[in-house]
Amino acid sequence: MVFREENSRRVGEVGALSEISGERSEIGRDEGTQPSPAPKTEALGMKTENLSAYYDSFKAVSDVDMQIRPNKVTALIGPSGCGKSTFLRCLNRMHEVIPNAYAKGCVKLGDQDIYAKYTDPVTIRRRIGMVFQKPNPFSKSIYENVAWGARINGYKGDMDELVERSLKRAALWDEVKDKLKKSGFDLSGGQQQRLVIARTLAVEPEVILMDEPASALDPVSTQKIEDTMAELKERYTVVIVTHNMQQAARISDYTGFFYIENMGDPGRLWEFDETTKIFSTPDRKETEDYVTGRFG
Amino acid sequence: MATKSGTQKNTRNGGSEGEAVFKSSVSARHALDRVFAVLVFVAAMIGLVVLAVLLVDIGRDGLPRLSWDFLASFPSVSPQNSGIYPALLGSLWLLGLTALLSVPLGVGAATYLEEYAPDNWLTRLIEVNISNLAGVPSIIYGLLGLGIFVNLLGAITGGQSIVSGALTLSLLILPVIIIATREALRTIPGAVREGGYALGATRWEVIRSHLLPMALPGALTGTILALSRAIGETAPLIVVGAATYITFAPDSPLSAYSALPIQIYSWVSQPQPAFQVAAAAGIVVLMVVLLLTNSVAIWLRNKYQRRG
Amino acid sequence: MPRETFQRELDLLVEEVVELGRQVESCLDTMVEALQAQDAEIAKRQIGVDSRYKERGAEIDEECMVLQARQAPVARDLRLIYTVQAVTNHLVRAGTLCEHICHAIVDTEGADHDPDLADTLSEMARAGRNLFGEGLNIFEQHDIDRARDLEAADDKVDLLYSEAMNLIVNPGKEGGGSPEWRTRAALMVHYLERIADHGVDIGGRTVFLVTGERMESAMRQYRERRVESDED
Repeated sequence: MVFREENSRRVGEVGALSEISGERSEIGRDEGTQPSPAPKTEALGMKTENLSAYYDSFKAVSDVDMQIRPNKVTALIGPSGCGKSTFLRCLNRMHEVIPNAYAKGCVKLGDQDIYAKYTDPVTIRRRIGMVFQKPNPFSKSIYENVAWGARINGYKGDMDELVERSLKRAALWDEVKDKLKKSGFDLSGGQQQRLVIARTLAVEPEVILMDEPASALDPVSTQKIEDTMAELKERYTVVIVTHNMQQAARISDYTGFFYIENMGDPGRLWEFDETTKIFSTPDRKETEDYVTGRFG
Repeated sequence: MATKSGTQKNTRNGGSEGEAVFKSSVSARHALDRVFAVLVFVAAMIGLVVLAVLLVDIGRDGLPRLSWDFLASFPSVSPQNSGIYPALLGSLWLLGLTALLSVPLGVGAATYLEEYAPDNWLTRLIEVNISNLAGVPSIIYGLLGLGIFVNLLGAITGGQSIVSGALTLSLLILPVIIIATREALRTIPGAVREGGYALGATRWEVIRSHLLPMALPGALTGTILALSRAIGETAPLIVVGAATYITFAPDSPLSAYSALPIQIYSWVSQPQPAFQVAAAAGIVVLMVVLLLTNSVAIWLRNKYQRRG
Repeated sequence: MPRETFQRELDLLVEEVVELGRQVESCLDTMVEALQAQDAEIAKRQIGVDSRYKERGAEIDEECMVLQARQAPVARDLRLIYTVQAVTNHLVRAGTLCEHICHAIVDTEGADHDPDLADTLSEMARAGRNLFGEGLNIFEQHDIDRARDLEAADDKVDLLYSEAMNLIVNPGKEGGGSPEWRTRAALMVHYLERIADHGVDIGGRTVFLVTGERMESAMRQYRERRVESDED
């Protein structure tokens, strides 16, 4: 573990490789040039208990209990405005970045409650990364895009190697390895999105959240992103919000269906199960109506 | 002559035979289109033509008078020997100091208002007041400067000194810089900030690495405008004590000084026509300084825009 | 109503399947009549009818494939298409078996019949036809409560099957009819038992369509619940 972490420690089931941050970097320092850390394979899962999200006084999401299993892809589906994106943003404390927005309840990363009183949201956001709907690379070079996050988090290893590794894991390396100094905006939409994924990977998160990552992309780029997601779950836990039901059915292991009963109600988790069940024999009528497109 | 268009038998839109569904005269619409194209062109040209006439007039009078002597001499009672040296130097000093004072303050204030300030009544009050301050006549700033910088803080500023002048001008142009920087920050999409936060960055890290560099072109444009205004300000400088006749070159921020517009004003007020010519030459020098300042700033802006 | 076109296509598909089922049912009616009256003329009418069933079945299969390609069905739509294909298969098979039986009746025209065995055959044919018809009704109406009774009805057919097999192996005092007839009778008995099974399976598929569960686990739950209520 090569990042300095002020307030949070990795607790819970993690695998033999990483303990408290200080130890590993110590080892590296003695050896001279830091060797690249062995790729970790076991990520942490997450769990929400009674999670509710508010915009000022308006309750957008109500009392969600969800188990997000490690090294699996969990898809969140549901009609527009039912709180899936809001819920997702609560998972890495991005929701509270919006003025007057807050969340109540418990969200656990492994065994640690990320909303606990003295937990630093900045550290949480490094460990739980997010990819947004519209690709938003920084107006910097491709190299800098990937390196910046790692740098400000105090990465002490070989930056070139980290950039290459991250771009490879995002399936973008081959396409950009000769033009790392070019601007991030010189890439196509699909490539930009993979660049965003690469920079998220560069800070070595445990969990990757994706908010409709392919909805602004063409089908070929979408397919590439989906293939990347299938590989990502080897190392990370992935949660994705999507409007594309075939996509949810294709790539996810678990699916959660969010629903609002009446206008003005908060969104609730209506059903949560293995994806094969949700798309073959869902338990609840509203879930079935939604996945068969009979909503409305 | 109206041409009937859209006439069909049994039109789909429910018209019966012979009845046109759409407005008939296309040529009239095209004619109106052309008329407006001409009108807006004329509007643009009027401004340019007036400016050109002005410049030509000034140049015809002033350019012959320009020489190294003119630039290197001090003003004197004899128009032939008068030069613009101390005024030029004074303006450059003022420019430098004002930029040094106002830019950090302006950018800092804009950053606070746009990125840190909560959306409450106090913030909105500040915003409204800044907009108002941008419109306050410059002589008021002069009076403010006189009261505070020259008199109250005279011990520190040296009274009627370059520092007092620069401070006054800084106050004058601060609102413009703040507004321009705020607008530049506002045009940066929220997605950039979100992208930064999502990587575990603090607010300052996002501002420093992404927002300020991206806002730089817009902020520079505003600063250019503001500094250009500052160079040409006469009234407030007179009030804070810029000299109209000075025989030495300013050597420190605390010394007395003159400035280009003041010198020009002073010459224009003299009866001798030779002084009018000197004034014209002075205006040319002022224009050149303005152009140079603008060019540097535009070059800076383009440099940062290309990088982004 | 979202996906109105798709819903109409699905409804049409089900109608076509039921239509095919009714055709097979009427074939079964004719077969029962022929067996009861021991009249080969009646049976002759159904010779070759199975080719029409097979053709229809293939058409329905293709429609299912096209729907899957175009509409990407999930959940109950997917279960419906899956069920339609299975039920169509059962219908075509049952129709083919019915035709085979009619063929056998025509072939053994004039041969010596064992009256007991003939009666048993008749009864079995009636039971099989009723079971098939019931399965088809259950499919048409999605009425899975009635599906539970199909198993009981099938038990009755199985009983008749044992009886008939017994009569074939141990012919009675009257000699049991000519050997050709007895051989054909054995085949007919087998076919009738299969037709009854098809009926049960159609009911079972409908249970899956509606509940997403296999008939066996649904039956198991049903029996468990019955045991509980018995113990009260």
